[in-house]
Amino acid sequence: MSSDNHLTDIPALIRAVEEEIVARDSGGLMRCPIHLSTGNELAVAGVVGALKPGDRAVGSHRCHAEYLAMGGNLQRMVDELHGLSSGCVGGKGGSMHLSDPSVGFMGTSAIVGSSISIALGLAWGMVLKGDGRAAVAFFGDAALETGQFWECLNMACLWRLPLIFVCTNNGLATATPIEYRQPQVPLFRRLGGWPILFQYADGRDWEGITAAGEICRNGLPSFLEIAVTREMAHVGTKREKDSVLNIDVPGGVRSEVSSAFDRAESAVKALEASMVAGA
Amino acid sequence: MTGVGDVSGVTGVSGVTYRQALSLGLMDSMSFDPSILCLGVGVADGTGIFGTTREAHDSYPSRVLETPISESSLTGALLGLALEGWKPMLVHARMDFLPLTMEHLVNTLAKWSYLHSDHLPPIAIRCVVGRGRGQGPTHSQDLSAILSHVPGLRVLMPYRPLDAYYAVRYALTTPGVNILMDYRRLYDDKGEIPLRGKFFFWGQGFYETYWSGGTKLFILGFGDALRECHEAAKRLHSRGVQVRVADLQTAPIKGDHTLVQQAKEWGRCIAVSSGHRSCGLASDFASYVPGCEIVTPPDTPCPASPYLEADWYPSTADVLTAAGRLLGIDCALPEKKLQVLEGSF
Repeated sequence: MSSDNHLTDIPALIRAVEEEIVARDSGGLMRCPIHLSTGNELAVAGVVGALKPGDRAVGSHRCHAEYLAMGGNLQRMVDELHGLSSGCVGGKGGSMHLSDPSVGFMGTSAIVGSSISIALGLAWGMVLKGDGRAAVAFFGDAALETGQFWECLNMACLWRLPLIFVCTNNGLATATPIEYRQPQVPLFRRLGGWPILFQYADGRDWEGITAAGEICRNGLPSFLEIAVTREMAHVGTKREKDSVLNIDVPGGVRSEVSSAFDRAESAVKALEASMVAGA
Repeated sequence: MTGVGDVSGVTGVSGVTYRQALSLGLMDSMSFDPSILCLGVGVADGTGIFGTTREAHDSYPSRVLETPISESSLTGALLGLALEGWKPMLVHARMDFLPLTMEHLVNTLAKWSYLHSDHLPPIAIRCVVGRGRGQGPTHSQDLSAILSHVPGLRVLMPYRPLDAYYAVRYALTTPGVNILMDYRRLYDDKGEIPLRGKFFFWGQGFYETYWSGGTKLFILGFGDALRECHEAAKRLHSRGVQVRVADLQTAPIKGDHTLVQQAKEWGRCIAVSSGHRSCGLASDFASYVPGCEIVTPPDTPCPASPYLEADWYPSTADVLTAAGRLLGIDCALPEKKLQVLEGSF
């Protein structure tokens, strides 16, 4: 999992897959609600690159990048989006329920925060066996608003579980900006006092993400926040800037917030630059 | 209908209380299978969930694990543990704590096997129904119906000590999500567990018949409500009525279950439950059996005052009144007695 080729190719693969989904969406054959990972490529692939054989992960509803980075079968993912029995969960789950246990991607929860509890169980089971593996929970910034995050933080710290909390912070819960949901205190300040290793990385900084991932894969509880940009709408194949949810309503949640699209543009450029550099 | 097959030769026991049966079930399960875990708040404390996990903790301290009061996350963690090959049992000292965990019960555990076309290892959740001695509206509830509504969850409702023993064994050996309800007011009931072998058979339903040549009456009870069913049956039998008291043992109810068919054949039928009537198990059973009388508590929360509480739950008198309507006879109504339970809660 550590060759540069792998690490550079996976983000490109994820991006290419997501763009192809957008391109083919007009055919109307993908009828499940598609949650695209565009913007999460480097963040997710960088963390997964730091994992060791036998490590396992549980994903969120926005799981395409997580599935592909862990090594999930591409054809079975595409089949799943098309509702085919050859899909990775037999067409019964759709975009939010990708899974490939054979590569350690055990599945997802489409309920915000719930991926953490499942991954906590994995990490707990690993400790009870004492075999040195680790578990990863992927979730977004909104999970910090759920009770489960704090319950699991408590248990992971209490039992010193090999659980890596990976928060891809895109600042949006569906359409509601983080400014409306959480106090404007950096995450690491909120975690101060907990006996947990905290790392932060910029979602456009490949070196920074992989370095933070290596630090977090240390067999103890750790929290990695990666700032990312959701380039696409919450659900569907429109750009975030074109999303029906992205309308400024006077006094509504978007009117006072800087455009997410501006951030998206810079992320695209950074990603493209990294892909060129790695080619 | 309940049979047991002893292979390994573990001897049976008699004079066992319901409480001891729960403990024995856990002890035997853990001795047969080293991948079984017992988790929860109070499983490793001085009393060990009213004495039901204490022995297991003494014998297997590394597998009986005290936890924080984080019911919701622990329920999600059961899946992670199962995916790592463990067979966990999470214990709630009151069933009323279960609503905290509905997210993972309904969205995670109940859906996993369906989504992944795979059998989950056994995942057990044991919860104590606290009924009796003024436990009140949020420490006494029978929420079996809510759980039975969700495909992918199996509810176990043991009535006799034998059932309690096998329900624990069943919950820890049967693939899927098994929610075992046990009833605090039955804890001192005594019975026999004839065989305790590695292989057993339980959960297909059970009935007991009070034979006579008279009119036939079928009574189906759920969980602890079977106590009133049997008391009513004995009184009716003494008046010449032939009564069959049946126990489905598990939910959800399947319309083609032998006992549903029997109820239809017997004609006169009463369904009794300690859960609410509206969308409840007794009502669900009655939906399969035309003319079935339904005896349940009212659709209000349960009061704490022992005087109000005694009126609130279905009593033997309530079952006899329903029987009287079906049989067209006057049934003597015994006075309601306050339920006085020994031991601490």
